[in-house]
Amino acid sequence: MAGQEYMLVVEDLESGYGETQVLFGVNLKVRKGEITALLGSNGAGKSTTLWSIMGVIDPWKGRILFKGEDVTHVPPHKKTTMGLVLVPEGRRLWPNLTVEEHLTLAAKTPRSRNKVEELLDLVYSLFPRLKERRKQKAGTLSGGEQQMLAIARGLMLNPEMLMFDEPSLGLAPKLVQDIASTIAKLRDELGLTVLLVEQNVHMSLQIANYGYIMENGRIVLEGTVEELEENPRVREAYLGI
Amino acid sequence: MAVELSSQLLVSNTLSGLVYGLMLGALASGLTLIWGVMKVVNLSHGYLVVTGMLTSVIFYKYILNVSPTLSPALAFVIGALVGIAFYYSSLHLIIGKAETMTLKIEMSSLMSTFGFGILILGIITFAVNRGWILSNEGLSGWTLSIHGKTYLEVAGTHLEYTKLLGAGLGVVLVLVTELFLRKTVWGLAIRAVAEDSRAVALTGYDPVKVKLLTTIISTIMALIAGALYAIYLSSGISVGLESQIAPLSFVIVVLGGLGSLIGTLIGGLIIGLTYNITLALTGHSEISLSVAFAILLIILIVRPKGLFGR
Ligand SMILES: Nc1ncnc2c1ncn2[C@@H]1O[C@H](COP(=O)(O)OP(=O)(O)OP(=O)(O)O)[C@@H](O)[C@H]1O
Ligand SMILES: [Mg+2]
Repeated sequence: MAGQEYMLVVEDLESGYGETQVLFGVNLKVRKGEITALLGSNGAGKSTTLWSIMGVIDPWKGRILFKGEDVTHVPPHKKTTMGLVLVPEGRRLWPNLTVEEHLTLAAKTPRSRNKVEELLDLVYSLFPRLKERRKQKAGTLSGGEQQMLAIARGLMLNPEMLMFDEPSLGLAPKLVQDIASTIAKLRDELGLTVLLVEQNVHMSLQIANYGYIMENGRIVLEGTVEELEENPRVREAYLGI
Repeated sequence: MAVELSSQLLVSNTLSGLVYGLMLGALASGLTLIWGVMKVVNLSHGYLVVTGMLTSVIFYKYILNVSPTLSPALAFVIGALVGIAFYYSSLHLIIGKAETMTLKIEMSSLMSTFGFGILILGIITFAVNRGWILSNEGLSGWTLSIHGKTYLEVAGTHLEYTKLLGAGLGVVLVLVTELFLRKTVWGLAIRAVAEDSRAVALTGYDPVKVKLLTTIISTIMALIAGALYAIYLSSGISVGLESQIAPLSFVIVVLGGLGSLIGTLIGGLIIGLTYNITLALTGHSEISLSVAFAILLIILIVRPKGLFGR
């Protein structure tokens, strides 16, 4: 039964770009129905971890288990259709495609095909602005709307687990709060499992259940949110207290 | 009297130039698709078009002996097969997994598409030398007549039905493809790969499949447009036409804007008109070609993205 407790398990993951190693044996586990935060400063290797989990970068060493299954070398489009979805850093929308076209492309995948109405209702109720702008090209949306669309595209894939790479990046404080409460809602109301990568430690600890701190391609600290908030090192380096 | 004559000449060259321009737009459309989506400058495009032209001749002369009007159907099938061969022989290893074009990838794909063109040329030359197909034969013996006439008369100008049919179906070809790109899921995926292929993988589609599909569609377009050009020309069809089709196609694609099918039709119209009118005025096709390239230079300076480019 122990295998059922975790949605995602990363074991001794090593990875990098070309000759340059970036990750040196990363271990982390994401419990079902929880938000797990992966925190760290610029260049720590957080995005590289997510790209390697997705298979966009093929891992050098180690194992990745999704729902107990070894998916280490499964390509990203297949992982996506297994229910593991990444909302990437920098949104990565298609500027000349409309809001609706983004959602349609995601909705026509095998997992979503039979639930399109339901998923569209969900997405438009979470982000009513996207409904207003559904005929608009993504390149003409504001930064906040673009982040909403990136999340909406991910949700249209009908995921079991969502990974977010810095969803708060470049957004005004009010919008950061909106995104944070949306992510909490996905866990609380839909039971989704979340791996949240952030530099905004305040925001993350507010909604997460468990957290990892990454430095120079290694996990240096982990614990429940309460433990992390108490930790003097975290308080000094990341919370500025 | 002299003024009247030259204005009649202007009218007739404008009308035939418009028809020619739409035909040229259709001939260039396959090139703009693969260039816009995959950033591959396909140097074999002209030979793919020639393959389509020969398809039409073979269809008419050797297979069914029915009207070449139906040859686009054969061009579709052969285009799909050639497209698959083209992708796996010349593109897959170079750009299958690539997300962005580096100079190295760009150079390699130039070389490999050039090589594929030479391969087609070799096969055709071999077939001609063996006497399997005749060079320069075209669709001789075939005409298209309605009510006993082979042309439509507009403002004193004779527009041949074969030309109207070739160019008209060419426009249909481009519009149908545009509709496919706008309205179908795989069309959306193709447009998405043009902008960010990694994001397409993260949305559940295999970018390699999308690139294969793009190559196949682009090749089918080139072959069908070639079959239609054979109908348009009716005679004088030979491999040598490649050296006329390829440069004009490149000019039209850049003029219209990379990746824009509608831009290609408009670009074709502009080039077709100027080509015909300068040809009528000077009597030298070399001058017409130079004017086409002069237009290209001006566009590159004034609007480098082309008329409909993004
Ligand atoms: N495409 C790449 N090629 C080579 N090195 C890269 C590439 N992308 C990232 N790196 C390097 O890998 C290291 C980790 O980068 P990564 O993007 O994973 O950090 P991060 O924790 O996500 O940082 P940030 O918070 O700034 O997004 C950095 O030293 C970076 O320079
Ligand atoms: Mg990052």
